[in-house]
Amino acid sequence: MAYIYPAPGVANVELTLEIEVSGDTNALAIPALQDITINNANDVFTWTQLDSGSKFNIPTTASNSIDMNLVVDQTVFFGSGSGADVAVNKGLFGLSKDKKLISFSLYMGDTNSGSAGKTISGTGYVVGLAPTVSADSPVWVTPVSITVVGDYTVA
Amino acid sequence: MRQQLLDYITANLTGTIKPSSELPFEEGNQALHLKNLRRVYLAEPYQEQTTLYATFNGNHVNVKTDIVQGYLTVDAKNRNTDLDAALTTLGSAKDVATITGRHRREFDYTTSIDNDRLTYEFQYRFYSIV
Repeated sequence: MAYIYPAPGVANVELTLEIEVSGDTNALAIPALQDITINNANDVFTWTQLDSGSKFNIPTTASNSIDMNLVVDQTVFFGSGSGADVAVNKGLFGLSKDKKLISFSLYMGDTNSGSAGKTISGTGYVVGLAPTVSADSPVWVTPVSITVVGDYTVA
Repeated sequence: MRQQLLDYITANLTGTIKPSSELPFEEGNQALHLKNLRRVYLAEPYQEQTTLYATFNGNHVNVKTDIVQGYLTVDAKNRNTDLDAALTTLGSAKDVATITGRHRREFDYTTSIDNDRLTYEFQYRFYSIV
């Protein structure tokens, strides 16, 4: 079997997510991810026929998005504030606020320690930020979604 | 941490029940609180760490808990008139202002009776992010 197990903290085996804006030299690596979900939700066209007691379905276009939760890192969230790399400069909050089209690259982790895992990439927008903190858990965490424009690429 | 608690308790326990700063509080395999009734003894703090948020890059967010154990034994038959007030004071000590940077503070105690001795075994827990 080739189960994918992104061993936390192990280089080339752990799950990583990088985003960049077109023209960036260096991507913004998103640290401290708690969980991540890859959505590929096909719409379905449904019809009925008089000669069948059951409905017929065919998938049409998909809504693609990547949902995650992360612990807020100040530099990554608000950006470095300088430099030519837009994603690094603006951070997640700036990319969301300015509605920048980004490219993302999600390395899913490996089936062994040989960095031979799959990478899902595409373009989209950073949405769904909702940082929160509480007295019982006094560390900022936030959900983040990348709403994908078009299709995924798997490499 | 133990010292801040002792300072608070010393300043606020002014009745028949008083704190002792002795360490270790054992003498000949006998705990001193069993020998010296109406004395509050605090042990040295110890720590526990648990993961608050696990992350894929391995830089987990951890919660450190500093725990201070304490003991008080009184005569079970002749209850001190200021025992309730003393227990309230011991509980209030968890909020002592000189212990800082803690997002959560807890205090609780259990009781046990052995012969004529009523022992309160209490615990302070101070939580911080590391």
